[in-house]
Amino acid sequence: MRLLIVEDDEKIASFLKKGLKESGFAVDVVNDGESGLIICENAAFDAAVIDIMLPGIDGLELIEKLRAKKINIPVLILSAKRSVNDRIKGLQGGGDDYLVKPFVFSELLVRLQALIRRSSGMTDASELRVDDLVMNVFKREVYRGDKKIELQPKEFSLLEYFMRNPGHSLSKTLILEKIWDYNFDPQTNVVDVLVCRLRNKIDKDFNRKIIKTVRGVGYILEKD
Amino acid sequence: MKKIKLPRTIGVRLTLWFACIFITFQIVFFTATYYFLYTILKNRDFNDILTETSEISAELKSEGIEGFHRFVNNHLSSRLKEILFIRLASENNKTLFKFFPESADWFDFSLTHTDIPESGKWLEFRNEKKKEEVNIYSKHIEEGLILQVGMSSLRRDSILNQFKKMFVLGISPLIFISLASAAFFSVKFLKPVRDIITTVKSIELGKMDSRVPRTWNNDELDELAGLFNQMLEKIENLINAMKESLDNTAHDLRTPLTRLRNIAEAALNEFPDEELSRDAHESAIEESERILKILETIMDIAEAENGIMTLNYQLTDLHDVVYPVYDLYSYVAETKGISIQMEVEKGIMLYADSGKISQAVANIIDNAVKFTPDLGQVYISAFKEKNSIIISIEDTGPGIDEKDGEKIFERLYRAKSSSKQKGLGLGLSLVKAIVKAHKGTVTLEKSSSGGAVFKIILTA
Repeated sequence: MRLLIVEDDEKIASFLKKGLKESGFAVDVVNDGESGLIICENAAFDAAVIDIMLPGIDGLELIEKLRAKKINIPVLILSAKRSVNDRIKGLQGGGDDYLVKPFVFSELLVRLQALIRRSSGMTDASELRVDDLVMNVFKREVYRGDKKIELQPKEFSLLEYFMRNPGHSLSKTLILEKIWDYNFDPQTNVVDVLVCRLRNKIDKDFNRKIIKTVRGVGYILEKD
Repeated sequence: MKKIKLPRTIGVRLTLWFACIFITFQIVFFTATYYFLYTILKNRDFNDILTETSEISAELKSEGIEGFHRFVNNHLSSRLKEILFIRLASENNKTLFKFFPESADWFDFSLTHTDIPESGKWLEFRNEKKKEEVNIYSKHIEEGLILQVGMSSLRRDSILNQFKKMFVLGISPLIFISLASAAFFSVKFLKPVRDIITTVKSIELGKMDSRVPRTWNNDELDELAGLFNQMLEKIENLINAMKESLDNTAHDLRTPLTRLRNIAEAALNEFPDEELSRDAHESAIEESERILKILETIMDIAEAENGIMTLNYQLTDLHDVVYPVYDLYSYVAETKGISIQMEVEKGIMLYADSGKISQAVANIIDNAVKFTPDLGQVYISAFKEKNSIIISIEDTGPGIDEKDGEKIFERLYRAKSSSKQKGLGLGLSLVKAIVKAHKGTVTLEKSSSGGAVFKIILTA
């Protein structure tokens, strides 16, 4: 998998490059829109992370130019602007997802993988398996070992989300967005409550706890 | 001599223009009157000449030359003698008699008869120096005589000169009056404009609260002053709100930033204890997360309060606005053993930014769930009443003290009783700001059980 990062802040760019390389991607970094356009015309990427505020042609313009040239790689927009209107503008301009700075790296990773999965037309598997945890999405059944676990709809969706992204920490924002389709942050951590309930059902009676808290980031379903 | 330079203000220009137009009009009027008068007087002179001619020729006919002499000497008034010219000539243009006023010494009578004068013809002679004009009428009468009668313009000139003198005497007060009245009107009508200028100048000097005085006479300039004041009001509020939110932001961020810094310092000190520095790193991330959250909430509040929040108005079913929030908190409530109920009929349409409204509702429910003790109840209802849509959230918690009443909507205010709960103290001020941005109100009452009832009231 080959990724392009268009970001003018060198620290952020190198942080992204390092993290993504560790996650198994081949990464190219350019610092401005023009170079981004040139490199995209000459090489094939699986996805791109594009900052909006760029010297020369900005991120939105770059995306428009790429789309005009029928370069349809999935694009994750990085932006310091967080208003709903900016988000809409970015997505209407041809971006596929939108992430506000400062961001949690694991969230960026999950979003990127989701984008790549979607664009490569991979169908979601109907049976998910992480260690001794097995989920059948169609039958809506969950087993841990031999034990059948009854889950409420939201708990089921949350576990499905974890199991589709094993080993990745999922931020509270991601979970809120995915499970409740919410894009603002309620004051109380609703997510904590739901995760806590899910833990009670799938971890409480087992020695190995598979849902872990990553402080300040979110939660992770750990593979053995 | 130093040239006086008038300021090119609208007032001066208006005055000058007004005066110019006024004076030009006077001059045109005078000139027209003058020529009208001149024509009348000249016609009268011509008529007099013709009258004299016919009288003299009648005298000549009946009395002969003697009668003519007698007529000229006795019948002509002394006034007429000063202006009348008479010449009698024989058939071959030989002067038999001539008479002309003494003052007309410039007049060369011979010019009138260089040739035999044609009968019924007018001749005109001018003396530029004396500005005098003589009109001569020639007539061939019976017995082969030629009669020439003329008149000097002295009579009509004296009248016209009188008229001119009157004008010259009259024009200077007229100029003065027109200048004065023009100045008066421009001063009077431009007063609101000058008031605006004065106001702007004092604002530039830092007096943000100065306003343009109104005349309340409903004219355009008064309306302008009113609009100008409205604008100033808005700007002042905006500036104050921005100053305030900047102050608040700085203050709100100082504490978590201090913590963040302390954590990092502690990590440095405890290096290389892996577990402690890992803990510090995690704390640092948590703290920065909190800073971000404060920043976002403050920005939301500031946007909503200052009226720069872009509201994405849509017609949405009230049920679809409230239900997701209810759904979101039902898990939290269930965990605490609180029963949360919702009673909202489908089909009530709300025209608002539904995302923002549900955020406001979420913050109130959040508050209710937080402060309601275990096994309590939270009751959400929404309904239409007359022209209002009311979303009411009632809980069986301890209620909110009267003295905390309005304060709970202030930023960072946390009632004493709430100090055990986690929170930023920003939730309810965001509620108020969002509702206010929708031009609605949010109220707090005590329920029959002593709990709190929050109501968001929006226009339907």
